Amino acid sequence: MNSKIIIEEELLKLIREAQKGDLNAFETVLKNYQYYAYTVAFRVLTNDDDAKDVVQECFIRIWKNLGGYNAKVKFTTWMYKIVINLCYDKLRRRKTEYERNEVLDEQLISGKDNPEQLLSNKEQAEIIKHISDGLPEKQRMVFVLRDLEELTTDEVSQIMEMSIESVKANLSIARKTIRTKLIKWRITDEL
Amino acid sequence: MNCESVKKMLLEGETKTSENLEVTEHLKNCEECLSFSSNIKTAESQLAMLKNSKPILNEPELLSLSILNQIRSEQKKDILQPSILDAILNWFMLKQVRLALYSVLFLFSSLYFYEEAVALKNVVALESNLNNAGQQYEASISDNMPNLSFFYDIYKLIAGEKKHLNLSKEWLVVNKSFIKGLLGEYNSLTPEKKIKVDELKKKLTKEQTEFLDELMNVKKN
Repeated sequence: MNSKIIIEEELLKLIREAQKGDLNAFETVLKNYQYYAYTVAFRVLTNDDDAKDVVQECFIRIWKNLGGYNAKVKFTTWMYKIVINLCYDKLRRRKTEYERNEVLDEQLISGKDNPEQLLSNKEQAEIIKHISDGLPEKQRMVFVLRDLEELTTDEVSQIMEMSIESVKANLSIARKTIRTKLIKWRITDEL
Repeated sequence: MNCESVKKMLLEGETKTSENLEVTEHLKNCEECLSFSSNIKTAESQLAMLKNSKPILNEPELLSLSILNQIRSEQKKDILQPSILDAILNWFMLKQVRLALYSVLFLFSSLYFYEEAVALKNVVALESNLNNAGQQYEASISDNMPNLSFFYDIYKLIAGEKKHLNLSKEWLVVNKSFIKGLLGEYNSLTPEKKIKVDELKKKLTKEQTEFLDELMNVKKN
């Protein structure tokens, strides 16, 4: 990962310059933040190409709408909001384009229960796909943003345009479903 | 605490300290729930592993380059092919064009007010002439006036387009000077209007014709 979070003041300065049409300033913002957009998109869509498409479209939208950016809102909140909306579009289109392949390579997770161990993109995608299968899109996104991206409930509520109570309720259901799936998966694996 | 509620609590992952004690106590005596708890812990570890394993973005510089290229090409397209609306709006945004527009607006409004002022001046002059003619007439004839409503019709034909002469019928009936002046304008009418006035003249009573002739004579004098 080449990116690092720029301090808020520096970021705002870059955004102000980009708002005046400075593409170099925008490039710095892009290079520092595209990874964060990619992570969320990948975890929601579980597909590298789709996630890259979302990142591309997200930053094109950011560039086009920079004039309307409200500095009172965190840049990442604004960016994640765009990412999530684009992910919704992708998921809807995907449903009509092809049936998802739900066959899971059960060897992927077996024996891997050391939290320090790192998973490949493919492994992460397969696991997320499996544990979030059947979850409504909203719950799936809340789970990714809150539990995997570790954003605050308040941020998730702003990104998803939901009340804090609704975020908590959706998260609770998502967590239960996901834990149940992981347990079932493990039991099946052991048999 | 029964197995069902223990499993539910373990699944939800959020228990109070007092509940924790009860759960721990239950787990000591229940193998099934202990195994369930162990599975939950494994699930937690797997979730932590998932959280720690961030996806790797391969060739990030290619992605940013592709985004920047798309922005640049869209910028070029915008420069080369601005929409008609954009072109019009941009044209209006030019300072010179705005200045020219303000000047034209100022010129037209000045012309309008100038024409209004000239019209008003003409009306004032006309009214003055009417009064003079009226005074001459009053000095030369008796007070035995014919019915003047007919002249109101003539007034409407003659002065119909003169928006400033917006006087009531009653005023016309009592203001002989005004009628005299209007009849004096007969000669400046268009042929079409003259025909209409002449048609009206044919409907005059003898008394009215005489009165009209007298008025015309006064103006001629």
